[in-house]
Amino acid sequence: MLARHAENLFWAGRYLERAEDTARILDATQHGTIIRPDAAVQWGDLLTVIRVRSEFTETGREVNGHEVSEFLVADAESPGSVISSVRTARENLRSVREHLPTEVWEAANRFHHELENRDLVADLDGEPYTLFLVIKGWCQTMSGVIEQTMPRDDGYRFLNLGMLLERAVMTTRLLSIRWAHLSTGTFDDAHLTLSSVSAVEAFRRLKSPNLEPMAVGAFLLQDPVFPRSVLYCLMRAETLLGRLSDQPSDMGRTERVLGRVRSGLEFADVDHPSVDLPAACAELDEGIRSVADAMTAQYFRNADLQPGSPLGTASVPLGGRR
Amino acid sequence: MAGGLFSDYDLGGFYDEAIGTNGAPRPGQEPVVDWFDALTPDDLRYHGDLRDDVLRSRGITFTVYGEAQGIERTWPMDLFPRIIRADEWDVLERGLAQRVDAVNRFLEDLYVGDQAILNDGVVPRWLVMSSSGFEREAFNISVPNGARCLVSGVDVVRGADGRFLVLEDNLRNPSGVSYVLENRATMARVLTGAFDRMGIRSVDHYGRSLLSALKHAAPPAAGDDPVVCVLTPGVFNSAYFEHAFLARQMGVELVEGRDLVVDDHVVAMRTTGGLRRVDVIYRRIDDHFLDPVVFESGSSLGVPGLMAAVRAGTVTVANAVGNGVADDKAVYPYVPAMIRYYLGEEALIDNATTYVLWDDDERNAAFDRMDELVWKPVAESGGYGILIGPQASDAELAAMRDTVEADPRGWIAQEVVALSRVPSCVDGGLEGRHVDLRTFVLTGESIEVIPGGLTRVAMRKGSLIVNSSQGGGSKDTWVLSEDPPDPAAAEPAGGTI
Repeated sequence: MLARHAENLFWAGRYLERAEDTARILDATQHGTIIRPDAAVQWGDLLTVIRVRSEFTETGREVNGHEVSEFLVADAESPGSVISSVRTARENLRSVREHLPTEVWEAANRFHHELENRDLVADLDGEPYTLFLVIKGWCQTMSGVIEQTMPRDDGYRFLNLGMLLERAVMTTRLLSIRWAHLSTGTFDDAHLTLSSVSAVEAFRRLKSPNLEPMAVGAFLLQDPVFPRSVLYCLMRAETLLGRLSDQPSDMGRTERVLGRVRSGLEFADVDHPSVDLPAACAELDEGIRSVADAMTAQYFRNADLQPGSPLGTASVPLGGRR
Repeated sequence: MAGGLFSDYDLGGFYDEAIGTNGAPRPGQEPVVDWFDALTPDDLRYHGDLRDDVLRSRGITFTVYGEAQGIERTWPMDLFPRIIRADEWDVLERGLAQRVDAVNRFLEDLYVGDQAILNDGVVPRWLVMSSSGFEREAFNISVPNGARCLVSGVDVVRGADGRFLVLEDNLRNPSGVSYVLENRATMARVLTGAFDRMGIRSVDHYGRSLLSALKHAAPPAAGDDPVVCVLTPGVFNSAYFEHAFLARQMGVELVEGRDLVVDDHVVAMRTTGGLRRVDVIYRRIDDHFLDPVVFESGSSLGVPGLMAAVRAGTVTVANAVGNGVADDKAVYPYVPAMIRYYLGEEALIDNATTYVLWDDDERNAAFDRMDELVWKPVAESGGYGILIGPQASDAELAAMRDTVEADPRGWIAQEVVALSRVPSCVDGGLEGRHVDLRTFVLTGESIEVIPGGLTRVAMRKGSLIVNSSQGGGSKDTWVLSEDPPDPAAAEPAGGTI
């Protein structure tokens, strides 16, 4: 497929995932402050997870639940807000409209219009729970429609690669931020961390009904079956990458970088008390970003393109189409 | 029609396509007129809301330039359809195919032929050579099968007597066909089942027909399965929605100039797997932005080296470069002569009465009745630059006279056509509004006319301006596959199968 289209799909995936994860984290945090008073809530931490702390500071807002939520959801000027993410995702999808089933495009439109038509600030003051439900619901509708209607071609793969890498980064950063509370903290801290990635039930069932803080970290990083764990995301990304058509005969640079990051995580001793988890998370964050960089170079910028490619030969069918 | 939405319907002295002068529906229009007549104003509003919801969620939009807030607008589609009878369409279809056939031959003659029509004095040589659409870069570039106007968008109107007239030929980059298909899809959702037994001719096959025409125009070296792409200026272009729509309908890539490279006179697109050769480019970029090497050097929309590749015959660009000379409005009056010259036939559809202002007699006669005529620049499209005499101020007319005197070659004047009207939904009721029709004609293995086309409607009361950029709306256009028997009609109906 066209390099530019692949890139737009990749970014559409990232922005959609970012919108969903942001809503999820905010929802858990708001909820947590009410029913889990023992959890240490640092609203400023959320800004770090989404990487918009400096932008937030520039607005002159105060760091409190109200201001942070408004900034992360409703601030159309902030590139990290939910409303901006959805708008940018839709713009990216629009530019690859011809690759999308109509139902995917319609869902993106309805999502966008719903957010544009709501008074988000009033929703956050009044019924934030309903608003987060709406946002998460639309994101899930999007992923559902994508699953149900998109052919498993390169377009599907690049869109999902964007979602998976974004999710991996978000989980990594969340854990890194929460670790200070988690490692010394209470049941409520563990609960809040898990619920931020909708992992409470999964952890209880797969690991232990007692939310043991140290095990939570290992679970979010290394669980092979929980779909929001970092390892799961990276393994799934590896599979999708390997299925892209037009792969070079030897292993491409993205596959090598991703393979290294994935195996580094898979075989790391993260649950050992001596491990510096925030440092490991920082390294992992860096690693995931290097995967995205490698993708950009290899697939979107054609950096590996040699002059004199086989142009004179007969037409070759486009990648990803039958 | 007692007490319904049509009870106080006013024909306003115009030719109304749905209602005859006796106040009864015209033949073929009854089911639709009756159906609408039975609605209440609330029903009409309900269906209008439903339509808006469908259009919004399907993201059917167009872009208006020069507006600060929200450049993207939902497409305006009126609920009341425009119906063309099978027998009316039959004449129109043959007339349009005839016209496009002649124009294709004219362009071939001009660019790769002997210019016989100029040598024989049928069309003045100086007129052609002075056209801004005449492109020297197109000389000696042959087009497979002579399909220079691969897609033509001929605009036709009906006057006071209901007869069809050609208003202008759009032979460069006619747009609007996506809205034909989307209007139909929207109507099917909004008026579900209301008209399913009317026998309306389908428009769904347009994508297949276009792809087949494009593949037919591929260079011989491309082989059995040529690679086709659509070239767009990008997401900010007003017709981007349509470019993406067509690429999707055809299942081909939508590329921008930056996605294409030319290497050794071969065009290729940059894909995730490297470069891939391209055989046919359906370009929706104007001639002058296609290739910065030979045209606008400052433009980044095009592809450097593209024209050299076209000239080398490794790639086909459709529509062909240089078509603008044939839809120059000062050349348009000669189309009936072209039909006579190349086909030995009389034109089946007349032109609107047109005065060429480079001719002293015609110009002076036109100046004597400036306020009765429509004044149009020869090279514009989309309704830009037009002055409608009867609605213009004295100052505007005086300024127009100066403009024409300075550049008589650059303008034409036409008799005002009292455009036909079709009932349209206005404030919960129905009122007549003026319409035109953008038809779409494909030159492939044969010439194919898409049944119907895009009916544009001037939604402002009394307005004759139908362009969507200037407050116009649209209507779904239904061509009946067979005319219903009509005992009241003087002539036997249809019968075309």
